[in-house]
Amino acid sequence: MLFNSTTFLVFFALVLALYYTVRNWRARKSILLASSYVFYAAWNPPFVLLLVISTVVDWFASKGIASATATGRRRLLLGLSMLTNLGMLGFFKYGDFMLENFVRLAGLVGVEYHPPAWNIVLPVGISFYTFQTLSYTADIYRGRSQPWHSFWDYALYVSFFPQLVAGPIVRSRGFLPQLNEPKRATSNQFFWGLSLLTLGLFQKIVLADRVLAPIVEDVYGHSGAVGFLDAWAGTFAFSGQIFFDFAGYSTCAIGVALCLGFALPDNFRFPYAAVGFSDFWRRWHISLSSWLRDYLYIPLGGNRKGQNRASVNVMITMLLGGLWHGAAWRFVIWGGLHGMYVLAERVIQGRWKLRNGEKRLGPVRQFVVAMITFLLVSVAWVFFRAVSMDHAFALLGSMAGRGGWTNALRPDDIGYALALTAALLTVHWRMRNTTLEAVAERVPVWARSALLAAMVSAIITIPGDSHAFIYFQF
Amino acid sequence: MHSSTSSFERSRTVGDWPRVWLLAIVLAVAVLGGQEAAWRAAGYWTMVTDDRDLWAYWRSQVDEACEDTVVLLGDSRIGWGFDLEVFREVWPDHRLVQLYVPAAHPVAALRDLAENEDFRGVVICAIGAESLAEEHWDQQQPVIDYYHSRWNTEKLIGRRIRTELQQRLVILNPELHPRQLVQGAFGDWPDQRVWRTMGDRHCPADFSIRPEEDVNRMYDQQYEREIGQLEPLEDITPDQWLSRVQKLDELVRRIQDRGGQVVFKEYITNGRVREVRQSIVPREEFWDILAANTSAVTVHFEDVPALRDFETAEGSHLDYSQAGRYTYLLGRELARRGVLRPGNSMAVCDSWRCRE
Repeated sequence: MLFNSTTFLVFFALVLALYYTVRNWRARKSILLASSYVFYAAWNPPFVLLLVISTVVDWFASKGIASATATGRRRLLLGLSMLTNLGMLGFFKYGDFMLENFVRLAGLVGVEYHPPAWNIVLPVGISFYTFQTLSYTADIYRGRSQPWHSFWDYALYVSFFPQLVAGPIVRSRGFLPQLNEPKRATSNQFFWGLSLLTLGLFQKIVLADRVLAPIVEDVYGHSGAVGFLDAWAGTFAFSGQIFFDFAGYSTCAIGVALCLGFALPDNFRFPYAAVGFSDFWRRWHISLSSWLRDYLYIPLGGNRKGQNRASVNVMITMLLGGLWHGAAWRFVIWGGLHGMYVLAERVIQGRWKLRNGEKRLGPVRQFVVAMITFLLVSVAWVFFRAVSMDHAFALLGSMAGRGGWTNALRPDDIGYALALTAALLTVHWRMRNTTLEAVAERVPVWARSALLAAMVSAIITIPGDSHAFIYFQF
Repeated sequence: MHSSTSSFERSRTVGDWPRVWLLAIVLAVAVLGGQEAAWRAAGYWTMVTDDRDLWAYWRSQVDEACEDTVVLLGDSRIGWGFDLEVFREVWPDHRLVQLYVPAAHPVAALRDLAENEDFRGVVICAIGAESLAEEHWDQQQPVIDYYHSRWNTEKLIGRRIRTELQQRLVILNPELHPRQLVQGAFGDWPDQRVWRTMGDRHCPADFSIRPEEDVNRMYDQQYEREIGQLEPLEDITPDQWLSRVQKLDELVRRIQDRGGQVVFKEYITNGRVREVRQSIVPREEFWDILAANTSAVTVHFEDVPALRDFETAEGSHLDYSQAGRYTYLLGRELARRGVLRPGNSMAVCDSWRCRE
């Protein structure tokens, strides 16, 4: 079920009515659990089984790990959890990709192999909930938390519908304790949650789908080489589209959870105001980057084993992070580019420290670095959005000026794309050290109302196709 | 954990969000109500988005086991030129489902029904010779695949709600944008499409809302499109054509073997469009061979005196002012040939649209 579907609004209204009618906390949690399964089953009922498997295996594996004294047994149970979750992820998400590469590799050594087409359907949200259950078990293995006392609470943590299919990836330590006390949003929380849901829908439906997606499509769907201005305008438009799409989803998720009285972690903090790439990854898809840091980068040794090993660890983390986003070499290249950005930044930072000690960049230099960061992040998005490697390199060629000035976009579309990019960067830059709540609360009541009314009207009346959230495919 | 709730709670004293929302709802209702009134005052109509979900919804309504089910297949010509209201009024015992797909030929949809072992209804399939061109055979397949692989209860509920709302509110007309309302205030109103889609996929077209030069331009475009569509048949040999017809007839027979019926009706065309069709796909070399080699009922408009003189607006699409009468007369012909039940008399059909 998509947040931007009419069905979701009906579903959510029914869940709210039921949830707030019942008084008993256990019964209310059961309502949430059942609703979450209905939410997931609405897309493809048989795949509910995967959610059940992931939940049950990690529940028993983590219990076993906590009670086992022998290291071997603990490792075996952790391995079982990893095998189950990564096995499901590997088969459903990377099965076709691995087969395709195996065929290519066989072809290189002269073996012609024609396997039957698998046509595997990717279960929505599998990348998100498998990471959640893995983190639960890994935390218990490392002694950072204890097994939760209630299976049903744990099942609700894995399947909680606001964040089930596209995050934020929630840690058990942040969510499960919230289930101890009866939750009831205060009226301020409830209506702030509704405001976030409205803002998220506006970002997704109006800005991402109806304003930016057509421009991106005109450039990335163009047959033949596009012009210099088209390539840059289209790529900037995609930078905006993917932000509004994914941040929109996260904002909806946080808002929906808040209406039910639950707190979810922030997933975006004005990422296009990032001063450098380490800063970017502290602001973009925070729940994933922190997951990769805690469960991949640090276990690999982090930066505790010398500079060279730290560089290798960064690259491994970024390449796998890229692959997490999609089963194609384009995503690996995208991750690799970000890895190189981070390593280059570390080198530059090291030289700066040698020359200037702990002196920080001045505001003008910070702004310049932020713009360079945005530019390079946008260049990397080309691999994310292109349909193939050849396509990505053709686009990069156009961005380097190998295709005339413009042939795919109308001048006003180029103007729109550049103006919106400038507006997006301005908003991010001005809000980079604050939060949405803090800003919203400084705005007078009438202005907040007018803004919400405008967003609601635009969501309802601006026509356009309904697109699935981009991050659903991950 | 840094979260929206925690950061919110830090500053909850300056919330005022219930008051914000109360005022926002009042404002939104005023804005949306104002837009609705303005569009209506300017003469704009409601329109349902004719997307894959609407097609799939109606596909799901095909009662396969019922012999009285009538399914309409074809492209926009049967979409605009078949009056569902008139048909239902005259033949209330038949359950009618409109499954046309704009700008796509219907063989894939016929195959879909043929492959459904339960289907035993009546298929009225509007085709031209070009529908059998290899390139056009699978044009409707994507929407069929969507129905079989992705249509589900969630989509059904969402589509029903949107249909109900879009049938009632002009602001939900997918062709209209609030920006155009502002432009309209300065005298620059957007053109309405000549057709409007209803919830049941009834698609009346009113060419009179456009100035004559627009309709003439549509005529030119239709003429060019027709030539492009017929191009794949220019070099086809009689044997190849016969083999296509036989392949099509296999689908017909599968439906007939279960007690169902199939009607092929040729598109109504006029003027230049008809002339170019006759020169590239002469009736005697194409339609007549099809009619002679299929077990389906075939209706060529030239063979039925009552259907012969219909004038299309731009060479191949009927205006809604003619579609009612055409539907009635076509239905009467099919009833005469035993495909449909006798139906009510024309007197019962008191709509002016079906008066002769």
